[in-house]
Amino acid sequence: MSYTSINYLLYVAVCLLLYGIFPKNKRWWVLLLASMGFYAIVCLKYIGFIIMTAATTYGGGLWLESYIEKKDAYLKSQKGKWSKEEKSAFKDKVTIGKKRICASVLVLNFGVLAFLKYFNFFADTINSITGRTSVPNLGLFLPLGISFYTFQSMGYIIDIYRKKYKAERNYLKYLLFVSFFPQIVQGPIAFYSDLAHQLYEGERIRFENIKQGVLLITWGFFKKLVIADRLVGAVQTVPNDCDSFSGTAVLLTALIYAVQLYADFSGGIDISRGVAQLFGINMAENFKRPYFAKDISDYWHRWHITLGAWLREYLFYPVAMSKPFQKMGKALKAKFGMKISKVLPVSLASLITFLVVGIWHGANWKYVAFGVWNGGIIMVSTLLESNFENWKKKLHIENTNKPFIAFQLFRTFLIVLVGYYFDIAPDFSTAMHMMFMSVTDLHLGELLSKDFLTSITLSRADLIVVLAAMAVMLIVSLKQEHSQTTLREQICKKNFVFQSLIFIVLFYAVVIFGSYGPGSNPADFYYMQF
Amino acid sequence: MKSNKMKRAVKLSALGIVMLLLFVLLSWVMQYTAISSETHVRNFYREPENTLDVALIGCSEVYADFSPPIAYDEYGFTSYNLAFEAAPGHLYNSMLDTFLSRQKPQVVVFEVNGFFYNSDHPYQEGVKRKWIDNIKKDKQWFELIQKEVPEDERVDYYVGLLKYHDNWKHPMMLASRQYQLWLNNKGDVSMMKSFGTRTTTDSAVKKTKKRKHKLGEYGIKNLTATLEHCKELGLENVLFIRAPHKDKFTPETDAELKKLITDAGYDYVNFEYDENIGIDENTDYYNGDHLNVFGNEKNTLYLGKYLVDHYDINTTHSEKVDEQWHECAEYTHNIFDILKKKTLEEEDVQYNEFCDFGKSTLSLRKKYAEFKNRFSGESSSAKE
Repeated sequence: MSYTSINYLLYVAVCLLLYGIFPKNKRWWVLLLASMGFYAIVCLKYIGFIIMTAATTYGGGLWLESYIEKKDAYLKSQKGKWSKEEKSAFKDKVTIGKKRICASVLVLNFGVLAFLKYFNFFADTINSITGRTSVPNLGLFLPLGISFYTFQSMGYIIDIYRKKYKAERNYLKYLLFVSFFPQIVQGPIAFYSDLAHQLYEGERIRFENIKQGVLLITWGFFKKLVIADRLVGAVQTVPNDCDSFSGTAVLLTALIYAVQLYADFSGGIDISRGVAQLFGINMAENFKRPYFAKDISDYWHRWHITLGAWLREYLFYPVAMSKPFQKMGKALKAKFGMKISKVLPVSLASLITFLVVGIWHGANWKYVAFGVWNGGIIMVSTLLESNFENWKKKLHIENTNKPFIAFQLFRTFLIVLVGYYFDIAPDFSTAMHMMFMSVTDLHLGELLSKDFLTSITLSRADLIVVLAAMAVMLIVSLKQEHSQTTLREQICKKNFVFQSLIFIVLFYAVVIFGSYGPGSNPADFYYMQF
Repeated sequence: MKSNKMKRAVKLSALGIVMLLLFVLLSWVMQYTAISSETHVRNFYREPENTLDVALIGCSEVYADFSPPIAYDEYGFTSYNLAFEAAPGHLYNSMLDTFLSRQKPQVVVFEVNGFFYNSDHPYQEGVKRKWIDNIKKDKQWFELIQKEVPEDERVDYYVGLLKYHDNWKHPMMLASRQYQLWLNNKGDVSMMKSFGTRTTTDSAVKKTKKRKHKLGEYGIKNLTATLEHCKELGLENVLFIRAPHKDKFTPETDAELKKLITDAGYDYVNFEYDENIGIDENTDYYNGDHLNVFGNEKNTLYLGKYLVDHYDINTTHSEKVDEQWHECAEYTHNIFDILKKKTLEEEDVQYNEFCDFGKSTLSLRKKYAEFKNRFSGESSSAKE
């Protein structure tokens, strides 16, 4: 049951109806049953994994909390009895104990994720090195949404460790937080503090939420079916046999991928957020027009925002603030001065974070390269930031200078585009080869050839529709970029006829121009595989 | 508060109605099966209820080889070719049910070609669509989809737009369909009662493709199902025929068919071997499987005679029905005249009952008469 199927829409409609019928304090039950039902329909075989993750993090949270409370109470009871040193020693002991509990939960769950995600890769690598089947390939498949629910629940356990909030007492409620069905396939990854209370609240169904939710879902369908799925064939064709194509085709494929990936991922997220909004649940934004980013850091604040936020909160800051990094800062200060001592550890933490992002994408050197490329660029740009500022001053370039902004957008897009080669190519060497081809084998005249589009499995009709849809997406993005409120909020404030007209046009644009039904090449959401 | 809710309900209902109307309109506009199949099937519903004496069911052999208006003109019985290209035998029961849902035919004629399509019929989905998408959307339609379509594909049949929405890529094709349907829908009823031909005799010089006509397990299953269904319905006058073909059945196939059908208590006639029809293989076919208008006329007269000779067909109709059928017969004669002329000129164009034949057919008929006289004069002198 894909998010873009009629069955899913019917499923949502039935759940919404039940949600409305149930009393306020029982509505979370509907969401839980809907979430478990959805998981069972799509991935029954692996339902044990999500239940296990929820159980271990739920249990771990309670254990951690009770451990902290006991130790705190004990510490309180010793008030005035212990010396400062004794207190400090006790606190250190408690910290170790907390870390042990937290780490055991993290290791167990990340271990399961790593095992399922990377075992096949390691087995194949070892077997190819030894030349025989030393390690059997277990043919493991990833349970639906394992990365997303693992990240979400690990965030919870770390927050409990940090005493950010109280641990959830009701396992079923916690299971709902881990498995909430609109987000299970590809996020957005939510923080417990943002999402949980909305799930348990039992917010009544509001017409305003329905309107905005439906509009957002339709917009998601538009991006996914009209743009992304119409382009998916082109993205798959060239990288698998790039030597049969020219550099022009390779470059065009990378450009198409930039559009296709954004439309696919953000379209899916819009559907997820739209469905959640029907139930009165506001999920965090995951995209803020990433191709309008002026530098690569800005891009990563606009692309897959919730993953970025998670990594900042639970990886980047802990690494950057860790004792070894602080020591490194001190050491650098003595040798290279204040600036380097501040910037280098932060840059290094960024590099590590992006390496993790790369590896999270998959067990393949191309993803490591993807991480190094993005992290490296951020590291270099952070290190050279003051130099850039000086150059800008010397050249009298203001930040508001439009040609300069255009240059920044183009430069950032180019950096992102290079990263996409690692995504589309089957392996690292092919990615490098494709980049080389894109620069050395360009024949722009080829674009005018009749057979060119056909060779990359695009028809002229497809191209016209996609270009028109992209123009719509660009206009919407431009309007949104310069507005404080969302476009759908603005639409919903207009009169009913205008709202209806927008909805009808959008809905039938999807119905007519969407790539679906018999004979189409429906593609799963790209991020579903992670 | 209450009035606000009421207002909202009215507005939403209005939006719902607009959405629904647009959906129905788009579903209609975007659909494309094959215009000839579509008109053959849809035109059936335009026939006044309980006015047809004979049902003819089958594939293209039926509407290419038999003309109901000409048969009416000669023998007085009314009939309709409920047939479409490559109609498979497993749909014959549904075709029969559709016929019986609106008419009480005294004789049912099945052309057996559909039983020779295998389960791996290359156009399986296409042929199903030609039937399912063009019949009335009623209980029978719903049940047919349940029976014929795999579960995961059913929704595409219930909501045709899921399948046909991609036709936006072919605007000319859709426009052409609308134009042809507009032509087809002129008048109260279909004038030619489902018809299709090609204006050529060029098959005379082309080698006929030999096919293995073997009923096989699948064919026997479908034929048996049809025979049983006829029995369940209590039909007495059922005739299974093999229309004239250049590539004829082997005696074994013929015998197998005959046995299965006659054992069930129904009649079977193979017209492929019947020289009395007067079919000339050099001039009366437009390809190996289908007769052109010359052959159609001969076959219609022969099969029509066979039907009135062997079955007691009551040809009494209301004045209005007779009036309408006379008009159809005259129209068909005129069109046949034009088509004969075009065939003799080896124009080789496909025609259906809804085709725009241009100028007044009567004046063309006159011209054709002159042409025919000259032609027959030339051919007789050539013979001499």
